Amino acid sequence: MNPLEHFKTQILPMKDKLFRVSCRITNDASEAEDVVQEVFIKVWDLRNEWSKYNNLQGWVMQLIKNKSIDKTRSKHRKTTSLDGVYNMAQHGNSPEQTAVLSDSMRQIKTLMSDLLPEKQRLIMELRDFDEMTYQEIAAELVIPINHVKVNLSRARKTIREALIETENFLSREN
Amino acid sequence: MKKYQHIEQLLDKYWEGETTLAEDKTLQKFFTSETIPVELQTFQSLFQAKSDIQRQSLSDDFDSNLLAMLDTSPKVVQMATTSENIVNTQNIQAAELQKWRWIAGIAASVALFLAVYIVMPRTETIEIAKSELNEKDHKEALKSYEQTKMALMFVSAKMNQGAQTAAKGLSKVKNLNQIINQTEQ
Repeated sequence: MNPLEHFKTQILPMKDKLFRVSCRITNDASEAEDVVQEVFIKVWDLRNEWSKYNNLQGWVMQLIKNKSIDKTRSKHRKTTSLDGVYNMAQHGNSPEQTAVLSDSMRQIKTLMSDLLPEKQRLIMELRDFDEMTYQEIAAELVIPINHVKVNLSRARKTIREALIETENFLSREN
Repeated sequence: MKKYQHIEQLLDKYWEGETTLAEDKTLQKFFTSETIPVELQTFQSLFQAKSDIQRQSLSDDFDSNLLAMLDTSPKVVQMATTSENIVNTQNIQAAELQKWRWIAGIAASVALFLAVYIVMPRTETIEIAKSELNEKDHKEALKSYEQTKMALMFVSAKMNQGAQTAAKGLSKVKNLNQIINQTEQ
């Protein structure tokens, strides 16, 4: 298989997952798109070195994370910025969808950033948004799997309680 | 209620962090469907947000734009090679200039050494003569300083005496003024 074919079949299909990871870090869809494009070009330019990496996709993922963090640091953006969430919601969706999307996303993202400790928030994002397995999360964060599950459970229960409280508050108001 | 028993069981597992990815998908599919019972609607936004975030995708023309860039990458490499050549030429020129700077520096050092070696003995003689002269001058200056100091101390003492006399005179004038004032009253 020539490099271009390999790139098209093995690396390019990762684009949406990589984009979502970059979105989560940069909180900016257009910036995340730039990150994915820049990293893909870099990966292509380094095609002679692909054989060095046992886990090519893992390497690409790491490049995406590093690049996203660099972009975020360089612009001093807060990852909890609501503008960024809106920007994410608007990317690639119709205005009708955007209105619905942004409400749910804004609510959950705000609850997560306001109520959860950093570790719990990260684990919940990796599991629920990036769809990583418990093993992958444990490897990513270098913690035991049972710690992943405990933190995930605490995070989800905190969000559950917040949603119930919000519902009760709205019921009383109405 | 039994209709949603399976979903409620899955939800319980979900809160405990025990669901598989497939079970998460089942929940997500249920909560983003049209019919959700009222008692479960509280959690709809959580799964809706999950779904929304996972549906985030790159623009449709991303692939074509990217592949076009990759196709032109040899040209980019060619351009890079050209610019590398320019950089290399500049590096060579800089190295050449650096070499001549070294030679000039060494020549200047040799010239300075010779100059110091030839001129230094004469300079030393002059310095010794100067230092002898300076010693004499210094003694004379010290003598003058002592004399001036004595003279100034003498003047100062005399001025102090004058000031005391003036103070006495002033007090006498004040007394006289008081006597005059009293007699007028």
